[in-house]
Amino acid sequence: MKVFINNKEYKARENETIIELADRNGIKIPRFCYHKHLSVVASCRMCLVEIENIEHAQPACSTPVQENMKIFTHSNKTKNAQKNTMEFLLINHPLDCPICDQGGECELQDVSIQHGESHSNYLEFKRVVIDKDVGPLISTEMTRCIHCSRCVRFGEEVSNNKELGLVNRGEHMEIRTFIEEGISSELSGNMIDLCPVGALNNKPYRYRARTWDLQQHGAISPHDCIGSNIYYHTYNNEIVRAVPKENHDINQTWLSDRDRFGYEGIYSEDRATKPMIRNNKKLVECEKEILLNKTNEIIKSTINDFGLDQIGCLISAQSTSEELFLFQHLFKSMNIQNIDHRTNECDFNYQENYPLMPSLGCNINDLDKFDNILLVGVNIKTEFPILTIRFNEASKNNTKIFSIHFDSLDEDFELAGKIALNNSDLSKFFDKKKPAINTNNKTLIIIGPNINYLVNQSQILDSITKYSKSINAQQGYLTDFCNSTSAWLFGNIPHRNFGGQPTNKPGLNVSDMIKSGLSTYVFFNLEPEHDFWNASAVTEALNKSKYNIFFTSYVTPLIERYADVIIPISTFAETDGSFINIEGTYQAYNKIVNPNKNIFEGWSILNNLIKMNNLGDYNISSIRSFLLKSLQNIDFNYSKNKKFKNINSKSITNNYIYKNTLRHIYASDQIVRRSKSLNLTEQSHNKFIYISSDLGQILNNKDTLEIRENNKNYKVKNFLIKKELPINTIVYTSSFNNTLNESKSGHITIKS
Amino acid sequence: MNIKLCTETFNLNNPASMETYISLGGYEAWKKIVERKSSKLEIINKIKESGLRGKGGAGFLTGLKWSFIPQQAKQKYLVCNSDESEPGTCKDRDILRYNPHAIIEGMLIASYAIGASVAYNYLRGEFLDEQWKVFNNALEEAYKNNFIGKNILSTNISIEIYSLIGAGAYIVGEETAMLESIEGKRGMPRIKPPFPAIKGLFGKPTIINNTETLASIPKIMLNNEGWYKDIGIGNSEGIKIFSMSGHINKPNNYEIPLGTPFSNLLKLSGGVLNGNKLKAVIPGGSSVPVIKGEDMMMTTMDYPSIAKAGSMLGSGGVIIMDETTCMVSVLHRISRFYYSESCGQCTPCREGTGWLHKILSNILNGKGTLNNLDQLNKIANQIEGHCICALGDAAAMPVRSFLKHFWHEFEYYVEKKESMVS
Ligand SMILES: Cc1cc2nc3c(=O)[nH]c(=O)nc-3n(C[C@H](O)[C@H](O)[C@H](O)COP(=O)(O)O)c2cc1C
Ligand code: SF4
Ligand code: SF4
Ligand code: FES
Repeated sequence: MKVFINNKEYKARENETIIELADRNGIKIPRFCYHKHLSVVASCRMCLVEIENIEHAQPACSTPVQENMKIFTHSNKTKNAQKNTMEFLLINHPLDCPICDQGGECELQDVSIQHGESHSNYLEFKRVVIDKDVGPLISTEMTRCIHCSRCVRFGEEVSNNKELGLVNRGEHMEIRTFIEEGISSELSGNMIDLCPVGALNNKPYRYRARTWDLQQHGAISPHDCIGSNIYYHTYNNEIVRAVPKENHDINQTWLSDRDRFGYEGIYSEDRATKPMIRNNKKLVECEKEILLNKTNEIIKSTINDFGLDQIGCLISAQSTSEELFLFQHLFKSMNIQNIDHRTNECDFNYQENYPLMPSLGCNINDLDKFDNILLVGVNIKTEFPILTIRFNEASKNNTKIFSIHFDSLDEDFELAGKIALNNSDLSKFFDKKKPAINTNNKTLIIIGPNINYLVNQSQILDSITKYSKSINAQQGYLTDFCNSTSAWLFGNIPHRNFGGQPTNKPGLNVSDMIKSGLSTYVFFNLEPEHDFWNASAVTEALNKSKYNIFFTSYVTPLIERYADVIIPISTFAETDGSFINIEGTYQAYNKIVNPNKNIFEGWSILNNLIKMNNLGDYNISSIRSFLLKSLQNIDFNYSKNKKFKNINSKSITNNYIYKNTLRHIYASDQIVRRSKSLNLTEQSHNKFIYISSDLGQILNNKDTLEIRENNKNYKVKNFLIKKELPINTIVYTSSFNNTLNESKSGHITIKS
Repeated sequence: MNIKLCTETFNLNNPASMETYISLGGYEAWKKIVERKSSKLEIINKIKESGLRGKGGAGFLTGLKWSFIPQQAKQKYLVCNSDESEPGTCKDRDILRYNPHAIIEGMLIASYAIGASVAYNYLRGEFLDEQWKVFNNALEEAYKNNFIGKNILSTNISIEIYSLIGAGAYIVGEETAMLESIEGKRGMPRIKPPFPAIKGLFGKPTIINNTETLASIPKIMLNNEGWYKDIGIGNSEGIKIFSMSGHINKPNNYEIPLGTPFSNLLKLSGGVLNGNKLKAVIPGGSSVPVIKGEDMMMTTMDYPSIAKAGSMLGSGGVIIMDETTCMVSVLHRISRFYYSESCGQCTPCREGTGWLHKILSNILNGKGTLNNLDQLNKIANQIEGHCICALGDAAAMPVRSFLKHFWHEFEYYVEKKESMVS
């Protein structure tokens, strides 16, 4: 269809609006209420344009183009109409730009410089709106609000969590939370980006810097396996805020609050800032030289004095691909096979059947192409908040989404069904009962990390795999860390080497490494307090071992107590890095800020050790090109071609009481755990222990649970009865594991 | 001619009862349609041919509106607009309490014609005490007599009618805001297109008609073709209720043929209060431009004649102002109404109505300037034609017409800081 804008001909699409056509062709039309990912309300009237033969200027955002329509975006009529709207918008606006954080990136400021007048015809009193405290992440200055309703529509249409709304009419109209409560959506920060003025602002960033002094660094968010694209803004070599970087295939134009505010953990006071070694039972600062020599000496002497199998090497899957590659390269080249990253797990019987690397089973963009999605042991809202938007799209597109879990948890999208089963019933469910779905339809089964943490994960994975094969469903995973993909693929596991190559002598899995009490442990990027299935077992192992080497960004109490070597390393932000997201996309980024002078980039310190042992010499580009080349040669049909190994799981009976742990949204990795702002959120206050109602009955109003687990007794107070829990179940939120004598999941007995 | 349609029962005993209505031929039209299974198209054509125009304000041809409905659509809705909140208008209020069965029968016929199985009557919140009860009683009676509900009069025709009550917002009278409100949302007008006849209530094709419009339907259907048309004059066929208020001796609702000279209507309602001189008239509810008294005396009460005099027939709320009226105060009062009733979504309406009101308040308080008068005109121009719904225009039009016809009075007020008439 032919349409003319400013007398130039353009090809327009059927049903396209004027603003869409203009945007596609780079013709500027000012707008406030219009946003390409939100419904069109055409209420701000900023985009008014002249159309030939129509008396009044019309809104470009809602007017569809017509054959031979003649539009003028710069004519006097258009300019006048826009100037008029601008005048109306400014009469009640405080014009406090000098003290507004939006200054410099304010759409109102931009447009008013182009369209407004320099003097005001409005001499009446301006409207004053009382500010609301909506929580630790968003600051409000509602006098600046221009009522574009973008924030409201975001809640209604995108995050499906209606927290902000319009109240009152006319000039008294206000945007506010309906009840006197804060905003608690896991995606709330997006409203900061959407707000065209300084009404909703980034609270932690408040008054930190002026926008024109910031430097922008594109990166990949390390807080979940989705790999959201992100811009970190820095000021004087410090990250002061984060905003989304548009990526149509991944996070679109959105960011979860965890990704937006998580970086604050980098600036935690317990950062490891100097190299240390233990001398006469005391940790003392040392030179890099000495640090490296000491580390190498420990490794060498362990191998010589106790044997290759007396060293255990553990790395977090939040590490970069470069680090994961070099870590396993260093140790496997020395023929050390005790390597693992699955520190939160305890049942490894399924490991031979596990795919080459975990994957979602489809592209993120294609989630809405399935008829059914079964979410097993995953709560999207709190574990993968950014995907709430995708699941919303899917459910609007008639995908039926079901949740199967050991807990009954809320989602912000429509669930077609929700079922809570305890561990034993979970493993039987797919054999016997089976989900009530039409199995002729296209089905995706997504297994979440909470399943991996269970004592009987292998049983459950086995039954799901058999079930999904029987109905021809796609099977996928969501993982607990941002780079579990690389950890698996590059061989940070005891039973396979780089690229899934077999080993003739598999090493110990993490659980056995801890249990059997090795001479030396190497920890990379791991907190003994939080990152293991059973923290007390780890403490015991650290206590008994001869040497403990920590590559770490933080010095925790256990590290301080048991480390023989502390190698302070960069966080993701202080190094060049890359991650493979859960759809298999390799994404690299450059260093965002420089580390302090005594903090080493993880990959480079590993490379130092590799060089010392004549095992090669790498730099970032050589690692990356090696990885990329290998990725092309890897057989991704790996597990499909492999013979399926039968699982012998420990037998599980109904008589157990199951204690399971939920991953807490803002305790999911060591950086997020330290984010000040996220720790102030409502979610962070919500940490509970829930027991099922049948257990409540046994307890008979007692306020203390006396638990026996692994031959140890301990007491728990402050628990709540949750009716929706399956029988014989106790559920913890993860941060409770601090008490050390608990495992992330287990069979327990309680004294009644 | 003394034909009455909607007001037929008004002066009878038990006006709202089923017997009274039936004694005047009520439900005859509906029975015939149901028994004969009349063709929908024929009904729509008859309404088209009658020239009936919507009585809610815009005067849109009712039959034409009905014909926009996609007949093949499965679910369709009819909505009766009884939100009557336009200052100066009080006709629907009386139809609801004195002749509710005419509304019900009209709703049934309209629903049948457009193929809607569900209809809503949306009453303004202030009708809770009386009209709401009367209408609901009538609804119950009609249900009992099987004029509504499942298998009407033992046929396979089924139509449900529900009544709803608003919460006191004028804007909900705007048809798309009403749809939002029925859906349980905040009453804010939608952008058009799509028009409700294509995408209306719950996204389904919907016809919205005013109470008086629908109450007129039964008699039009019952009588022969041409009957209704012949009551009025060309281009303004039929009959309409005018709510006479203000400085008038017998304020009331008067149902008269369109085309009746204004002077007759004035006489009918007892003439100007105290025999005073007529100064100005707002002929169609507060949203339409004011007309000077002498010009008004030359008009006939029909669409073209009022348009020629520079205003609109609107909802038929005729506000009479005599020589003692201060035009500055009147405009100030009108501006306050729109200021507090704007829904607030469009920038020009939200900010402009407040600005107009503040300037007029300043003038009234003796703080106005001559510059303010130009500013009022300018703001009105900035609002007009730039909003989602007609409320913006409704706020602007009075301002411009008051200033146009009574500039000298405003000028006087600004300079002398007091009203010219008191
Ligand atoms: C601000 C505003 C208020 C309105 N209020 C009413 C009302 O109270 N009653 C009414 O019937 N129509 C009202 N209307 C007109 C309706 O939008 C609609 O045109 C009318 O109900 C159609 O019915 P009709 O075709 O039978 O006249 C209003 C329109 C606007 C813009
Ligand atoms: S707070 Fe911001 S986004 Fe929300 S309506 Fe106001 S200006 Fe728009
Ligand atoms: S013109 Fe006024 S009342 Fe109508 S939609 Fe816009 S703001 Fe609301
Ligand atoms: S952008 Fe078109 S009206 Fe707001």
